[in-house]
Formats: sequence, C-alpha cells, structure tokens
Amino acid sequence: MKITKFALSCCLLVFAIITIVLPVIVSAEEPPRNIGYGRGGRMQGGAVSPRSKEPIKPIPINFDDNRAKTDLGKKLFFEPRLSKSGWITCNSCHNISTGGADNLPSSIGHKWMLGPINSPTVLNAKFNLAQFWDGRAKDLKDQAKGPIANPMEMASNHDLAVEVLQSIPEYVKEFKTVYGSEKITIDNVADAIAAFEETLTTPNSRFDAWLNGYDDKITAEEKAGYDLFKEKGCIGCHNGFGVGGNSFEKFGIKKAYDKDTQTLGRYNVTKNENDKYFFKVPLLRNIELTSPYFHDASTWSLSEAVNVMAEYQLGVKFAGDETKKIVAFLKTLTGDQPEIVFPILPPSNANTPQPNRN
Amino acid sequence: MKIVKIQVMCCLFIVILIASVPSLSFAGGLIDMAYGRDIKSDRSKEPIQPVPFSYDNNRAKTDLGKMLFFEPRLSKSGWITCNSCHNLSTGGADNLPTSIGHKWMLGPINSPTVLNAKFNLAQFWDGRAKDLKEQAKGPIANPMEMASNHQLAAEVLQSIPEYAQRFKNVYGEEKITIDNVADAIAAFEETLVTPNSRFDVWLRGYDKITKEEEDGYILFKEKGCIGCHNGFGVGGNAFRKFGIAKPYDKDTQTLGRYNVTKNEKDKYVFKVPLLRNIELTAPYFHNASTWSLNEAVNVMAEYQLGTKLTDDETNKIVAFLKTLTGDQPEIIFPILPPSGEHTPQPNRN
Ligand code: HEC
Ligand code: HEC
Ligand code: HEC
Ligand code: HEC
Repeated sequence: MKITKFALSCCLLVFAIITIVLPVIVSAEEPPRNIGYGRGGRMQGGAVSPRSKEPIKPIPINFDDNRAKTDLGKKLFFEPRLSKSGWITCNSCHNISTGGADNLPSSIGHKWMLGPINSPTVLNAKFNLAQFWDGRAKDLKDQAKGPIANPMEMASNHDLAVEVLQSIPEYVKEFKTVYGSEKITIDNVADAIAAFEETLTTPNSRFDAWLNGYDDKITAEEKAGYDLFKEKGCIGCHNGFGVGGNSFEKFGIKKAYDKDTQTLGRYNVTKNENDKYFFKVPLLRNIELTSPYFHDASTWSLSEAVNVMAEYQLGVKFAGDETKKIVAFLKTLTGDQPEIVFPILPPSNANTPQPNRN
Repeated sequence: MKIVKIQVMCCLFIVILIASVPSLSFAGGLIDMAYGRDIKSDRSKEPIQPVPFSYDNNRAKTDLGKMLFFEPRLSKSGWITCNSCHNLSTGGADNLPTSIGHKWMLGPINSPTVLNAKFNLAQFWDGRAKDLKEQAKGPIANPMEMASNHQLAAEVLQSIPEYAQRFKNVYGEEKITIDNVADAIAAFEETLVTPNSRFDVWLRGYDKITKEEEDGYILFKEKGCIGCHNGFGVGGNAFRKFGIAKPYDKDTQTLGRYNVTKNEKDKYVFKVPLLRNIELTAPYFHNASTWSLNEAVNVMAEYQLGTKLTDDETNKIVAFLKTLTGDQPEIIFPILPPSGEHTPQPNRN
C-alpha cells in the first residue's frame, strides 16, 4: 500500500508539473497570439558586439508596459467610425499587412480624394525626430489628431469623433480604465493611438542580427553593399535606429530635383527660404515593402531610388554592381513585422452618430 | 512492483491525454472545452442548433485564403480588400447602408456578413452564387466593388514569388488560377464561424441566458419567426418573400430571387438572412431601411407575420437576438509579400 501511495503522489506531482509547464510549451510552439506587439514574440539576445560602434543601431526590443492603453490604441487604429464615412481607418493608408504604408503613389481618402503626397510607413515611426515629411507634428500623439479631421483623409472632426466613441459604452469603460475619466477627449484618443504606434517596431532584421554579432546573417554581397552605403555617404543622412528619421535634409543637394518643385517641404513649417525642398530623411527600415519611393512617388523601383539618391544627394553615378549591392543591403533591413491580433470593435447603438458617405 | 507499473502507466496515459489538448485549437482560437458536450439533451430538439466548432484541417490553404481576403492588390486600385466591406473587426460587415467600392461608387444593396456564411443555402441576397467559392470571384471583377478582372488579379499574384510558392504548396502547381484563388478564399471563410454564443451554450444545456432572453426565444418561436429563421445560422435555409403579410413598399426596385429565376413568383423574394451576431451588423434589411434592431423586429412582425408586437414583446425578442452573438474569429493580421518589379501597378482611376 505504501508503494501505491508513493506512486500516486508521483502521479499527482507529474500531473501538477504538466499543468503548469504545458501552457508554456504550447505558447512556445504556436505563434503567440496575445503577446507580441512589434516583436513577433521572438527576440535575439543582445550579445556584446564588436559592431556596437556602427552608425546604424539595432532596433531595441520593446515591451508594452501599458497593455490596456496599447489595446485601446489598436482598436482606434482600426476604427472606421473615426472617419466621417465610417469606412476609412488609419490602417487604410498605413496597412500593417503591407509594411505600414499603402503602396500607392498618393493616398486615397474620403470620397476617393487623392492626396498630395506619398504615405510614409507607421512602422518604427517613433524613431522620427518629428512626424510628416515636413516634420509639422512634433510627435506621434500630435500627429494622430491630423488625419481624423483632414477633409481629404478621414474627413471627420474632433468633436464628432469623440461623440461617436463616447456613445459606445465599451469605449467609455476602456477610456476610464486607462485615463481615469469617462469623458473621452481627442487628446486621449491621440495618446492611445500613439501608444499603440510605439509598439509598431520591427526588430530582428538580418542586418540587426549581424550588428549583434551574428556574422553569417548577411551575405558577402550584402556586406559589400553596407560598406558602399557608408563609403559613398548615404550613412551621413540615413543612420541610427531607423536608418533615417534623424534630420531634415534638402532633396537635391548636388543637383536640383526637378520632378517636383511644388512641394516645399520643411519651408511650410519654418517659412525660412533655406528650408525649401527640405524633407525629413525617411526611415530605410523595411524599405523593400514600401514602394513607391520618395514624397512624390517618382519611382517604384528601389534600384532607381538608390540611383536617384546617388545623383541628386551625392553627385555620383554608381558603377556596375554598386547599386545592386546597396539594394541587397537595404533588403536586409526588413525586420519582424508586428504580429497584430485583429481587434474586435464594440457595436454602435441608437445614440451613435451615423456614418456619412458624402 | 506491479502496482507501481500500473500507476506509471496511468501517469503516462494522463500525460498523453493532456498533451493532445493543444491539437484541438483551430483558426478561431481555443475551443472552450467546458461547453463541449450537452448536459441536458432535451434542448437538442430545438429548431436552432449550436454553431459547430470548425476544425481547420488545411492550415496552408486557410492561411493563403486569409492573405487573399486581406489582399488589396486583388482590386484595381490596390486599396480595396474583401475586408473593406466585410470587416472582421465589426461583425463581418461594413455597417453602411450600401457598400463603398472603387472610386467611391455606392453599391445598390447592403453588405451581408461573411461570418457563418457557410451556413447559407446559397450566397448573395438573391442566391445567385451557389457557394462561397463561386461567390468569391464576383467582387474581384465587379466594377463597383474591387473593379479588377480575373486575369489581372491572377497576374498580380503570379508576379509575386511568395504567392507562387504558396499556391504550389496548396494546389500542386505554380500557375495561379482564379479558381484556386476563390477556393482558398472560400476555405478561409469556412473558418469564420462564431461558436459559443450564450444562446448556444444554453442549447447545450447550461443556464446561460436570462428569463427575459428565454421569454424572447419563446416569443420568437410562438410568433412564427422561427419558421424562416432557424438551423445553425438562425436563417440562411430558404428564400422567402419580403412582405408576405403586407407588401413591402419601401423598396420595390430590388427584385431579389426573380433576377435569378425570372419566375414572377420570385419577385421580392430574398434569402432569409442569418441572425447570428445580428447586433453587430446594423443597418438592417437589403435596403438598410433601419438602424434599429427593435424596429427591424417590428417590421418583420408587421410585414412577415401580419401582427403587431407590444413594446415588451419586441424588447424580449431583441434581448434574445443579442444572445446569438458568438466568439468572433481571432485573426492574426496577415503579412503580405511585397510586389516585384513585374507586378502590375495599382490604378486608382
Ligand atoms: C487617407 C490616407 C491616410 C489616413 C486615413 C491616415 N494617414 Fe497617416 N499619413 C498619410 C499621408 C499621406 C501621410 C504623409 C503626410 C505628410 O507628410 O504631409 C501620413 C503621415 C502619417 C505619419 C507620419 C509618418 C512619418 O514618417 O512622418 C503617421 C505617424 C501617421 N500618418 C499615422 C496615422 C494615424 C495614426 C492615422 C489614423 C488616425 C492615419 N495616419 C490616417 C495618409 C493617411
Ligand atoms: C544629404 C542627405 C541624404 C543622403 C546623403 C542620402 N539620402 Fe536618401 N534620402 C534623403 C532624403 C531627404 C530623402 C527623401 C526625399 C524625398 O522623397 O523628398 C531620401 C530618400 C531616400 C529613399 C526613399 C525612401 C522612401 O521611403 O521613399 C531611399 C531608398 C534612399 N533615400 C536611399 C539612399 C541611399 C542608398 C543613399 C546613398 C546612395 C542615400 N539615400 C543618400 C536624404 C539623403
Ligand atoms: C465594395 C464592397 C465589397 C467588397 C470589396 C466585397 N464584398 Fe462581398 N458583398 C458585398 C455586398 C454589397 C454583398 C451583397 C451583394 C448582393 O447580395 O447582391 C456581398 C456579398 C458577399 C457574400 C454573400 C453573403 C451572403 O450572406 O449572401 C460573401 C460570402 C462575400 N460577399 C464575400 C466577399 C469576398 C470573399 C470578397 C473579396 C474577394 C468580397 N466579398 C468583397 C460587398 C463587398
Ligand atoms: C416568412 C419568413 C420570415 C419570417 C416569418 C420572419 N422573417 Fe425575418 N427575414 C426574412 C427575410 C426574407 C428577411 C430579409 C428581408 C430583406 O432585407 O430583404 C428577413 C430579415 C430579418 C432581419 C434583418 C436581418 C439583416 O441582416 O438585415 C431580422 C432582424 C429579422 N428578419 C428578424 C425576424 C424576427 C424577429 C421575426 C419574427 C418577428 C422574423 N424575422 C420573421 C424572413 C422572415
């Protein structure tokens, strides 16, 4: 009988261990569903690397410390009722399925109005020194209010957007949990969206792995491309975490860019003559996913974009396979895309203002 | 020693049993095992059946179908997806009177949900597509919807190596056909079911609905709604005239089933819509004539049954209808492969 008892407790022990350990194993096998904003649930160790002095820095792994807020922000990012028509969301123009952009020359907005400029990606946007091509919004929170009220984009207005959300009890409850007040404000709407956007980073690119000391993660050709990227001078503007986003620079330093002379860029913000045709240096992370290129979408080809940069920014012409190598390097900058569980939105009710497609 | 052996065997058995649990997960998340079996069989004879759990037995195909469902390049503009009008965030519909399509063209009819659409005897309000696969080809080439054409859509996908590879894995050949595109989309749509609604749990024998909701269900049966709205989908099993007891005069232009059969008797006959998740998919009716579920119920009573409900009766039926909202599909937003140099470019005009 003693043996039986012993065996029985063994059994229980095994049982207990399994019930505790199993869920962990299961979540390791399956793509983790509920954890994983911006890091795909996977990450690499940050080994002490001889490459820590390189002018490009690996994207830090980010942990969302306020899950209630980022979840709310995610809902709002995918919320069609923030638009007048009830049909357009942030994701319509910054599609997280396609690199955080819309892959169109310029965006389609309310009533199919075509916007004046190419939509930049929201992925890694937090690494930008300011938001928009001309930097007119100082940060993501400041930015997020813009499109809701832009008549060519979502075409709503801040009062209406807030009224819509305020009419939906589930939203009221979530805003209360996150901001301590049942009264929804456009500031808090923008704050929650910005918090979600902060999670939209793309770590673990092959290039970052190489930066972290894993030698065989990029090929000799890609490495040669990176060396050219530094030697030729691209790195002077495209550097840091985002491989861009750290300064405003003139488009057409060595040779006036003549394909678009109407978009004045930074000048619109500063009204300083010297800032004409200055634009925020775009991030080159995930660049292979976000064609067409440049603020005026003048090319769909990454090779051509690289050649344009050489000609207009550096005053050089690349020989033979130099362009090819640089393009090969640029493609190593594609990281883990955010793993988003598509949000389920609460229904409207009799008090919710109805959408207006006109 | 023999006893110990038996114990060890027992242990092993339990281990195996437990280890097999994860394999029960399906596209829509983990099955709620607690409600997996019926405890009071007397409700198994009810005219509404619980939504069966769907097991995703071809993950490669449903994953491909999911990508295509969210693929803007299936549209001419490169901007419109199936999800644009059947938003899985909002009950599988667009919550608009009629859909917005290519160049902001406003469609002629309200968009039905894709959730549980596999329970429909045929697809579209007039049933002109016999199943999900046949249906899926429609919107891609509809000039008011995605405004592409089948050749262009296949060409776009074919130009993207990752798609060619995935089609090869699923269909055994790299050549992408519109038939296979539709087949994959349909396979994904088959996973879009909403089990575990409170009403289904009640059907399985658990006391999950309130007295008011149960009263609503009794009224739903007694008044005659159940005659048309029944089965897994609480609808989707028949074509019926809208305006049986009293001609429906708010829209006399949409002829419904007649367009398919050209049979005079089929004028104003429509597929009975699913009432699953109905609280999520306002506005109601093919012509979106009301945003209020209460009003929709009253219209049904008046035009289909020739009766007038008291406010209390309407409220109870609406309370019952809201118990039909089930677990919404848990979708991991797909990551789509980039276009190649030879991919036809989008055209916004
Ligand atoms: C109709 C298309 C459209 C919609 C809808 C839209 N955007 Fe944008 N977004 C753009 C365009 C175009 C730009 C560039 C505008 C400029 O720089 O002048 C932009 C710029 C941005 C930027 C700046 C990125 C950078 O690198 O400077 C962020 C961040 C952003 N949008 C987030 C959002 C959020 C959040 C929403 C929803 C509240 C949203 N967008 C809705 C088209 C859109
Ligand atoms: C003097 C600063 C500067 C230098 C040097 C420079 N760039 Fe740029 N780069 C920019 C600016 C500014 C833009 C945005 C131009 C625009 O669209 O208005 C840009 C845009 C780009 C784009 C398009 C990004 C997009 O999302 O549309 C690519 C690709 C690019 N640069 C690659 C390179 C490469 C490769 C080199 C070296 C050959 C290089 N750049 C050198 C400032 C620079
Ligand atoms: C522009 C909006 C729009 C787009 C895009 C769209 N649909 Fe639809 N869908 C509708 C409308 C409207 C109907 C109803 C048409 C009718 O019955 O005549 C419908 C009907 C359906 C139905 C039938 C449901 C039922 O209960 O009868 C299914 C299934 C469906 N669509 C799936 C899809 C798929 C798959 C795609 C992408 C290939 C897609 N839709 C793209 C608007 C759209
Ligand atoms: C004779 C068959 C029939 C009966 C009885 C019937 N319905 Fe319907 N129901 C339909 C048809 C057909 C439609 C679609 C009408 C249309 O929009 O063209 C419909 C539509 C609906 C809708 C709107 C669905 C949507 O997605 O737009 C609701 C809600 C509804 N019925 C509830 C009820 C209730 C509650 C009752 C009982 C009071 C009832 N129905 C009785 C056939 C019937």
